[in-house]
Amino acid sequence: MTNWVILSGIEGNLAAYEAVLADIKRQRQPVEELYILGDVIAATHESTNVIQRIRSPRFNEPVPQVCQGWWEEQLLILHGLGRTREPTELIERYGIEMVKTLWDAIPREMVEWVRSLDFGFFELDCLLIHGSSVGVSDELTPDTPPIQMLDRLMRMDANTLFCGRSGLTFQYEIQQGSVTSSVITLDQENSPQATLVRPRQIIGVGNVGRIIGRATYILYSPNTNHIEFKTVWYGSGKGFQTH
Amino acid sequence: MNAGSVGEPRHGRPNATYVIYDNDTDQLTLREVEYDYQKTCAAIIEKGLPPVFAWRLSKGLEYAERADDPTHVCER
Repeated sequence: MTNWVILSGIEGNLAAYEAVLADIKRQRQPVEELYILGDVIAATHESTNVIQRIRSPRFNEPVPQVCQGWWEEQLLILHGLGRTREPTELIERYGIEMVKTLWDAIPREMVEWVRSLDFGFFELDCLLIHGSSVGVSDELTPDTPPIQMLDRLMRMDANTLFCGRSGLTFQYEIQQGSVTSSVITLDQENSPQATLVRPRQIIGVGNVGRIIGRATYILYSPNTNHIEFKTVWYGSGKGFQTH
Repeated sequence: MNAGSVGEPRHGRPNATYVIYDNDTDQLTLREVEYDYQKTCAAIIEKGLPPVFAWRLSKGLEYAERADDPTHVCER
């Protein structure tokens, strides 16, 4: 039996990423894939070390598959490569001075690598993405209404959506439901039709680097659909404790 | 509620379509109006526009592969 490791939000925190890699090596089940769902970088110079580490996995380490996150999109916008012309979200969230901070933090030669990242991955019946099928800024949380969750799943016809925008770890199950609809056109009027919703789920994969000393990620077994939430405590005096 | 299209209908007929919405009763009425679309088709051809535009209008369809008549040219 093999596992996927899924994580998000390293945010330039190399120590946190190393702690997670060390924890992965301690797993009894072999890790087949390592998915990093965006926010590898943040507006720190240390982000370049994280990029180098990701691009150069060591012997016996899984090769990470990385998609773009919110920070990567902001960087691309600054370089005229994003989907919008102005870094409006970046300024609204962190203020105008963050534009220069982010610009200075990531060298130009690394922007091409960021640009080459996928928007997300679709493997088996799973969508793996930073925000959602709407965009990298779409933040799904345990409080998101089920209709909205279902919409995000149905857009890509996924049974499981792994996301990292909120930084939270959660398992949100849509267990059952039905939608009854009727359609009137110029030519005919259809009687109401009920569409059943089959069980689907949204998984928040946590965040590796935002909280100093504590990283979260998940282990997923595609064979059994089993999900295990992992927390790694790291830093001086803590070693690499896990539970 | 989709209001249809006056100038480029896609419901399989050339008639103009629109809707009337009563916001007191929340009732919607779908409307379809005949007009001399062949005059419009002729004008499209005379102006030198692609004949497929006239074909689409005459059939009320988007795609040429749905056509019974493969020439895609509106009768003048």
